[in-house]
Formats: sequence, C-alpha cells, structure tokens
Amino acid sequence: MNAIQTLSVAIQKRFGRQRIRKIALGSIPFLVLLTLWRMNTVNEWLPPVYIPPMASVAEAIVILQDECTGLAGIFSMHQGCQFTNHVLSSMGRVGLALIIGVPTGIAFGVLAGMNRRISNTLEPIGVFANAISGIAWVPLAIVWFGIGAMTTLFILLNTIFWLVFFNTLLGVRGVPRALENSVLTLGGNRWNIITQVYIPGALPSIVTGVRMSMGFGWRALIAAEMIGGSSGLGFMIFVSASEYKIEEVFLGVLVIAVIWMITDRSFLVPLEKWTIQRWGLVWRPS
Amino acid sequence: MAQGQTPPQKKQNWISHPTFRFLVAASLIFGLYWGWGFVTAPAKISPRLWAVLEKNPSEVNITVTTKFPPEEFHISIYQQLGSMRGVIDSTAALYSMSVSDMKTLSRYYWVDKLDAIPPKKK
Amino acid sequence: MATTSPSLSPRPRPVPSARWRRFTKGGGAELLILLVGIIVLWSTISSLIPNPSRYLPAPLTVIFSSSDMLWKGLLPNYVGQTIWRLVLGSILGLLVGIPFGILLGLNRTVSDMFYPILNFFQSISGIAILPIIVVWWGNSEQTVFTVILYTALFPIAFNVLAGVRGIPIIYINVMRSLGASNMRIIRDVIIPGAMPNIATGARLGIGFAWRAVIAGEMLVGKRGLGWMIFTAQDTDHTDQVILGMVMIGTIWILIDRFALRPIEADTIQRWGLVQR
Repeated sequence: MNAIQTLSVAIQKRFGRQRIRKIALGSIPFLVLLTLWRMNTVNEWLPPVYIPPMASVAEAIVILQDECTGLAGIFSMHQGCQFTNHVLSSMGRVGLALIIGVPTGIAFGVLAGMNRRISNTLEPIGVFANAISGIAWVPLAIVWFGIGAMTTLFILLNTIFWLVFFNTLLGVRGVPRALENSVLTLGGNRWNIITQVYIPGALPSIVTGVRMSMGFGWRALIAAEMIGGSSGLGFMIFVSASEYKIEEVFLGVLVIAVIWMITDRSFLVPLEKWTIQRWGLVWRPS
Repeated sequence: MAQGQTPPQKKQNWISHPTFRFLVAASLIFGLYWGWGFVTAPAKISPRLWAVLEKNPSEVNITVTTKFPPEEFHISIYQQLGSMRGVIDSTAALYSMSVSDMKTLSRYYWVDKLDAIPPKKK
Repeated sequence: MATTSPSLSPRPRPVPSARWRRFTKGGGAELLILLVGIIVLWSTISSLIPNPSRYLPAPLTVIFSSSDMLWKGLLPNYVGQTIWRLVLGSILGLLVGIPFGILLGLNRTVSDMFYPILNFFQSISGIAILPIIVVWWGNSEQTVFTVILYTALFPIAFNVLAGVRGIPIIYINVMRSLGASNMRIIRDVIIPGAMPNIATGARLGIGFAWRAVIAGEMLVGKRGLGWMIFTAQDTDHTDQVILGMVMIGTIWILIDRFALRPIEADTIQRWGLVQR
C-alpha cells in the first residue's frame, strides 16, 4: 500500500488536490453520458437513426476521408478528403477573419474612441450593428456574394469587426484623461499617446471584445455555413442532416464543440488572464 | 455611513421599474391589437351573412374581400381556415368554414368584408 | 419653461430642459447628422449601382415595402410569431434553468460535478444542435421550439450554478446557526445572493435564444422574421431583407435596453456584493 500512497501524494502535490478533485468530479457526467450512449446502442432503446452507435460515428471519419491521398492530400484540400476539408475550411475562415478583422476593429475603435464627440456619436451605431446579429446579415450577404465561401467569410468578419470595434471604442473612451495629458506634457506626440496610453489602457476591453467576437463569430460561422455556405463544418452537418446521415451530424457537432473548447481554453482564457495580470481587472462592457 | 451600510437610496417601487413598464407597454400593444380585431369584426360581416348566421348553420360558405389582391400569405391563411375555391380580384370564396373559423377570419385587420355567397343565377 | 423675473430681464428666455441638454451634449445632434448622412449616402449608392432592387434598394423603397407589408397584415404576423417563440422559449428556459441551477449549486460536490458539462453544452450553440433535432423531429414547429429552449436553458443554468457557488459560505452558516430551515435559506440567502448571476444568465440566454429563433426560422422554414428575410432573398425582394434586418436589430435593442439590462443593473445595485 505504501507505494500507492506515495504515488498519490506525489500526484496531489504536483497538480493540486482541489484541481484533481474537480477534474475527477467534473468528468463523471461525461462518463455517464458516454455510458448511456454505449448502452443505448447495445440495448437498442432508441433506434440507431436517432442516436447512432459510437463506432459508426468514428467510422464516418474514415468514410468521409475515403479517397484522401494522405497528408499531402489533406493540406492541399484534395476533394476526396471531405472531413478534413470541411474542418480546414471552417478554421481557415476563422483565422483569416481574425487576421483581418481584429486589427481593423482595433484601429477604427481607437480612432473613434480618441475624440469624445465622435465616440459618443458612433456608440449607438456600434450598438445597433451589434444588435443585428450575425445571422440576420446572411440573406443580405447571399444577395451580394451568392452562396459560398465569400458569404461565410463576410458574416464572420462582420461579427468580429463590430464587436472588436465597439469594445475598443468603449475601452479607449474609458482611459482617464490624465494619462494622455501626462504623455503630452512629457513631450510625446500623437502616435505615442496611441501606443502607450490608449491601446494598453483599452487592452482589457479589447481582449474581452476579441473573446466575445470569437464566441459569437464561431456560432455565426456555423450558422452561416448552414444557410449560405458550400463548405465547412456547418455545411457538413446540415447536408448530412438532410440526408439523414446522423453519424456524420454527431461527428460534426462533436468536432465543433471540441474545437471551441480547445480554442477557448488554450488561447482565449490565458489571453484574458495575461491581461488581468498586467493591467488589472478585466473590464466587462455594460 | 456606518460600516457596511449601503447608502440610503430612495426605495424604488417595483412598479416604476423600467422592465415592468416595458412589459406593461408591450402587453398594452398586444391587447390593443387583439381588442381592435374583436371590436371591428362584426362590422365586416354583411347583412346577408348575418341572415345566414341567424339560422345557426354548422358550416358557412363565404366570400372574403380584402383591399388588395390576396398574396401567398393570405391564401395560406384562407386555406387553413376553410377550403378556398377561387379568387376574383380581391375577393376569395371559401367553402365549408366553421362559424368560429369565420369569426377568426373577420378579426384580421386586413380583411375588409365578409359576405355570403350570392345565390347562383340559374 | 420661461423664467420671468419681474423687472430685470428684458424678455423671458426659455430654459432648455435637462433632457434636451443631455441630447445635444451627448452627441445627439451629431448622431442625427450622421444618420441623415448615412441615408443620403445609401440613396446615392442605390441610384448608382446597376440593379438596385436586387443589390441595394433605396431607403424609400424599404420604407414603402415596410408600410405595404404592415398594411397587408404580414409584418405584425411575422413579428408576432417570432416574438412568441422567443417569449415561450425564454420563459420555459427560465422556469427550468433557475431551479435546476439552484439545486445543483447547493451542494459543493454536485456543483463541481456539473460545472464542466453545463459549460460544455453551453458552448455547443443551439444552431449546431439543430441538425440533430431536425433528424429526430423533422422540419416542425417542435424542432424550432426545442432549439430555442436548449439555447436559452444552458447559459441560464450555468450562470445560476456559478452564482450559487459564489455565495460566501459564511452567510449560509450564519442562517443555519440561527436555526433557519432549508427553504428559508434558499429564499433569503441563495436567491438574493445569486440574483446578479441569474440576471446575467437570463440576459445571455435570451440573447442567444433570439439569435437561435432567427436562425431556426431560416433553416426549418417556419414563418417569422427570420423566414421573411430568408425567402425575400430568394425572391429578389431585397427591400424586405433590409427591412427585416432593421426590425431584428431594433427589437433586440428594445428588449435588451428596456427589459433585460435594467434588471441586471438593478440586481447588481441591490445585491451587488458579488463582484462581476
């Protein structure tokens, strides 16, 4: 018994007792769900058309990747690698939209927030643009860009830009005047004010904006792909649903959830924490 | 202020709370919309149709007139409430409607007149 | 309001009311100018592009189509259906989510157990669930409603759980040592203590549910605002699309500003010992 005891003490010391307890407890409902799923398949409580067996969900990946030509095929988006194509399309859109949308949103937000008059004027516009949820833009985007990748990218860009813009605007507006005046008295020029005062001061709300825009944007992307896309995870699950291939739908939903959890956990939450550590409380927009 | 006491704020009555007022306003709007339908409905039924209704039939056949040619939206409502058999200009003929369905139809504000089917000229 | 002092001022000058001063100071005048500018720019672009009725109808066209739809009874019907779905789904989500969250939050072990899985289901948006439900229950009203309920339920339950968990245990212990029963503790400590989170959760849940209603109507094809803009796009009635978008934004602003946010601000003001 002694070896087991020392091992468990070592693990607890390394990871923290509360953390282990939380992880262990937290995984219980998941295990229960998985068990119920397995039992459902074995005992046939609900027919497989409603809840597919786990094996066939995993198999669906293989089926979708059937004609794939290996790693090279995956990266060149060969048309046989359907599963990875969809995943890569969706994630690629997210990446592209982030690269374009976040800097643009921050730039416009800083510009708008610098002048109190302008920011007071533009704030209702930002409120309204955010209230028209990304989804409501889809039909207009379809009119302008047709069904396809451009529409989905536009929706995602739209969502990200307005949220980042609005949060940056509010953040910059909340920076105390004294700080910018002090930079001016120390001989700084406009550019110094922007980089040394506005952006760091607004950083908590910028990060909140980025996190919110990722959350809303991911959902809007999936929905946009369902309604007006021709590739991507949302498109995949919608098409599979209309063909009653529920294994593919389950697969897609699980992938969507997993991607979101990984992104949130490993990228966004640490980003927010880093901001708290450096610049104090994370400011939550009202 | 003593330690831990919140500053004395004027006790806000929950009636003057913005959410409550919003809900009241919204309910008023819905109520007015609905009530308007009830109030204006009887005026839309023609005397001929009243005469038919006096006899307490189980079903009625009517013509419904709107101020504009009915569109797909209206036609689907017509077909839900009765069996539609044709549209001339802005008037549609509906057969085999129950009396309660007919009254529902009369409450829509875009319905102009309800009339009994004029007797066929033999 | 004119102030008249008997002999000093030559003629009484009207004092602008506080509301008017707030309006002009707070950028209201600039906003009006900006809005007028946007509308003018919009009209100019519409008159310049080749096929305006398809790509960008002029503002006047949008206004005409909105009054047309209003006159013919379509608009109130669609708005009413959408709002009805939202209200029903939200109320059910609140009725189920709040007690559920409170019950789960009471016991520390239970709340630690359910926190991750509620978080998990909160992050699978209702839209992602929709295809599964479509396979189960087809393209029916029930499907849309289930999706809305799902979308509203998890944020509410999750936030209530977090709120109950965040109540300092000393309050509960104090009540217990004074001999309070469980129901009393729930009523006097737990519910007020979790109120800010309940309000936040409700606001999040209803916000997500609103988006889910629109998307659900588009995907499942039940009549309502979402359906209206989707089919209008299909039949080249871009003016209805724009009208629908404006209505969606306006309705959400009204609901959020006048119904949801005051509750949230109020609960934080009254019970805001819990730090947001």
